[in-house]
Amino acid sequence: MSVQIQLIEERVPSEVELIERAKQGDKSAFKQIYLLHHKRVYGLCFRLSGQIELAEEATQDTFVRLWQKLPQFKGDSQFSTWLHRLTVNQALTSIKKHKSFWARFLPLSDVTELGQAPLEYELLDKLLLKLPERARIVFVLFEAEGYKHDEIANLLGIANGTSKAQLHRAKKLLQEML
Amino acid sequence: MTPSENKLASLLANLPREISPPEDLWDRIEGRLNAPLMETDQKWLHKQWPLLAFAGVMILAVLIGTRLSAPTLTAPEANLTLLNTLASIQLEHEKQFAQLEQVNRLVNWQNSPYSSPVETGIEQLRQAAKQIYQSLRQNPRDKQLWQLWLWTQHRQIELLKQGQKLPVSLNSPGEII
Repeated sequence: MSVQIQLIEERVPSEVELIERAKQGDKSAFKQIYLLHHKRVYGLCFRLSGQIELAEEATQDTFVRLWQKLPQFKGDSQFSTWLHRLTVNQALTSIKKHKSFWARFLPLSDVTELGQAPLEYELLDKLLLKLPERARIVFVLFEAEGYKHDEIANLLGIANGTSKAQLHRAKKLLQEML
Repeated sequence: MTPSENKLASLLANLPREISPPEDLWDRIEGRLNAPLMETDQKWLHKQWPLLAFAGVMILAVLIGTRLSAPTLTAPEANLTLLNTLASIQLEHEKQFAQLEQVNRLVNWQNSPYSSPVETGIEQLRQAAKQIYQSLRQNPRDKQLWQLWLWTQHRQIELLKQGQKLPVSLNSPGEII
């Protein structure tokens, strides 16, 4: 009997339960959600932003936004899909915010700082950092995250053809680096 | 498919979906969870501005003290651009400030019983802005200092404009009959 009680007590709550608890303001449940998803969120932010510092900032922004928007999640779609969309939007906002700050004072060539990936990162992740920002974002969204060109165009406020051209450019540059 | 195309496709296929951040971000996230939403907080901010301005000036003083004790950076080409921009923004701000001050003298808002805290606030902001400006000249790439400096300028202008809207005391010597 006591073993049964112990087993019930130690049962890991499901993601749905964690979400419901977090919606009610339970921070420990929200921390569990963070632990489940933070690597995926950070990975996406890092590949889109191309900088560790900015990726950390975007990851923080994403989880703060998630905390605020969680009551709006009705479970109509997969939580991971919903969080993925939120992350992409937040990462793009953070990149824009960061760039526009310095862009007000510096020429564009000085604004784009070349990021550096830690040694243990995958080869492709290191190469992605060497791509121009727009080409990198389009490549990551299309090739790594499975977005379509019209979705990317919509997210970035560019034409469909521009998205295709940036993807072609990114691939060409990456192949030259390999 | 060329060898480089093959290699790229293989790297993409093996790209892990997750990357661990270099450091744990939870503490910083948790610290921000209780912060009130910007959109719903405008009224509260509006009411509490004198307190916020004072707190801001105090924070600035500490921050500037720390910055000034740090070693001076050399100025490469990008820093020169920033220094020039810094000087021109400062000049533009001074022009705008002088223009608004002239308008304020014409409307004689200093006769309002509420003008004193506004004037004190403006003066504190100007002193802080002056110190930040000096500090920024030494560290023109410090984003936080830039933000603080621009904020102090923005607040000065805002306060001057608010001062123009203050009710003028009827018993003041400058009353127009």
